[in-house]
Amino acid sequence: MPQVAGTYDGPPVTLRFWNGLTGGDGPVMRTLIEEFTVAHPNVRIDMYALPWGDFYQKFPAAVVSALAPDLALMHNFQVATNAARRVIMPVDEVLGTVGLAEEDYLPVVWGSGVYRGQRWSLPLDMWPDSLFYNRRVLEQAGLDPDAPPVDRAGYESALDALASAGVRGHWLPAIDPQGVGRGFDSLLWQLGGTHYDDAGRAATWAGPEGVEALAWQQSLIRQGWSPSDVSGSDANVAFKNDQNAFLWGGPGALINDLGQVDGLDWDVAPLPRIGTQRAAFSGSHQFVVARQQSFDADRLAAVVTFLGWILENSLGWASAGPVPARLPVLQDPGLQDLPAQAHVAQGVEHIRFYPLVPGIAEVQTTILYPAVGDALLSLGDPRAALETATTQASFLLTENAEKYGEA
Amino acid sequence: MTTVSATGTARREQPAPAVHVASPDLRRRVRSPHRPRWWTPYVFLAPFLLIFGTFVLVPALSGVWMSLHNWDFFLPDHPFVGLQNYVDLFTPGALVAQQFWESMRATGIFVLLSVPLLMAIPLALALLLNQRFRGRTFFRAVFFAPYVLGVSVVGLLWQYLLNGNTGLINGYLAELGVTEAVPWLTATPWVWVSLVGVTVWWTMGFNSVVYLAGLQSVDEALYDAAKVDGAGRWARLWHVTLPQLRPVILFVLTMTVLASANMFGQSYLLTGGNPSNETRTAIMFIAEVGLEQFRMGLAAAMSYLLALLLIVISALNFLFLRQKES
Repeated sequence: MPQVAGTYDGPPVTLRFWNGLTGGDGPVMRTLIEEFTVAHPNVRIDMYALPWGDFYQKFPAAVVSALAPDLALMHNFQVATNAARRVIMPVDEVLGTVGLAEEDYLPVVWGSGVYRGQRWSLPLDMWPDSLFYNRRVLEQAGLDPDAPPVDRAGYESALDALASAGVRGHWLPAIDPQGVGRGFDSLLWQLGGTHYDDAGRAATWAGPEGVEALAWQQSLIRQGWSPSDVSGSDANVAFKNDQNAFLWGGPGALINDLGQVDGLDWDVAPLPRIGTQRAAFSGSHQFVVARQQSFDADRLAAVVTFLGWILENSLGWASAGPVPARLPVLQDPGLQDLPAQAHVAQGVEHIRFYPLVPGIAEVQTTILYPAVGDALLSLGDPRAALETATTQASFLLTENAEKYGEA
Repeated sequence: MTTVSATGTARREQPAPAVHVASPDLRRRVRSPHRPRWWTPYVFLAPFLLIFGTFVLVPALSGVWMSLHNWDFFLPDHPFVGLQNYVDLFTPGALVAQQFWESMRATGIFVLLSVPLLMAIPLALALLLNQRFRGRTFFRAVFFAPYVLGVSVVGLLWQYLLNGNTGLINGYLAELGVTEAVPWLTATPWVWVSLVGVTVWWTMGFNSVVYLAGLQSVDEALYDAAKVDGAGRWARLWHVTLPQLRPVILFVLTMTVLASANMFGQSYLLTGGNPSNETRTAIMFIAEVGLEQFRMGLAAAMSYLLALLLIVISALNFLFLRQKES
């Protein structure tokens, strides 16, 4: 990569920027890009949004076929995979120019772009799973809508009160490739467990913490606090129709979604502490620089200029739902204008990310999450379910280690 | 010598008229547009061959090549692994073997459940729609209508109807007094009831139309003769209609088995493979391994096993029904 210093002021360039922002987050990003272009008229940015699933297929394909965009946004748990695939570039050299400093980020976030001693991505935001609650439903059950439960006892007694009022308070999805497992992830961490050993070669989720986490989830259904056979969309529909009090989910998906429902009285708070410590699954959108067959110094300088600008101005991105990763931006009083985001931000210090192991997202979504979903559908033995998943995961983890090991 | 030469000349001259008569004839035959040159058929086939070659033959052959490698599009190396991908699929205890055979089992169950229904119901429907009654054309159209819908429309539509907690069907069942919600899309055996039911609803129109065309070509005289011999309705169906339909039945059976064995969209959209990958069909698993996990070599190997199995089944179909014919 050519050396880049300072803000780009050369002849006009048009950058290609790929991402998966196909929901309500897309227009927010486009608005930010427009603002950037006003400030830097010599840099135009063509944004191409495609569903994340397609993005992760097409982005590597484009890079290999020499059709790579200049920059892209991806999930933190896909960065190591794509670094190992060699479709993105290390960005250590541009850190200073972009203006990234370690003390501006939570350690977990700062560490999330570093793989094999090099930094591959620049964190834009954080989207911790949070507790979305339906204020009207709480009120009707005699609960205080301004004080959502914060611990296990409080949560369970709230669910009891809701059950007495005839409402199943926590519709727990058993079928939903994303929603199912992330609740389990948070609970496992809250109980002090981990998903993988340090080398990322073996799954450790079948330990006592994992079993307890899954058993607690099953108890929601057994106690009648959740219906059985719930899908992610069921829980959402029930919440919007005042039939469900609590949703565990990410701000990126839910803040805009719930905000569009007329007459829905809702708010959001950090996840309650069900285990021994506070913890919440979180993801993060991160900027990456795509590998080119040959780099153009002008284009790269323009990319760096854009990254510096948008990370500085990431408060504007918060209206998409996720909260800014940069702590000085997060502490900006302007965030208080977005009450839901401000409430989500109260929980960020407890967020957890998946470990930086290539192929880890695949292990989570194709092995752990289906196992959790099955256990919630069948209400079968949680230990057996998690142990089977451990065995299955060992195959994939070994294969990934071989596949990405030499790459 | 003279004699010889004379004879020779004579011989040469004598047949000359015959040759003369024959040669334009011959020439006409050679150059006649009705007698094509050897390459003419290939020229006519060329456009199709080009498409067939590009989209079937070349991918099929490169699939064999891929299946012998550990092939990830995006990694620089595609190490040659010989038959390892195939061996993996037959290694008891290996994750991919478990998952693959589990998905083959799902495909097998779906074929066994759906094919008999997709053979019998459309036949009954075709027999009904072959009667003369008012509004016949309307009903023919009505039963065919679902077939024109795309699988995504069908999936979305039935998702709304069958959803366990928010679906219309369970909503109506509740009003009828069924207190326990039926997990149509999340628990066996209901998932199979849903998938087979939806597929029958969706595709029976096509099979009906094929049967109907077959029925219309059955010679009326055979029915008259059977009536004269004292055959009743059932006897006529059994001894006239079904034997006459045999080639059509063979066609419908082969197409239906292949279509059912390639089932993907219904499972993908309705059950997502739930519960416990019980309804994740072979094609669905192959797509997941190849196009989501990029393990193309393995996916290609699985595709070949599935294709081989389908070829064997189709061949058996032909053999079985042909033997009956003789």
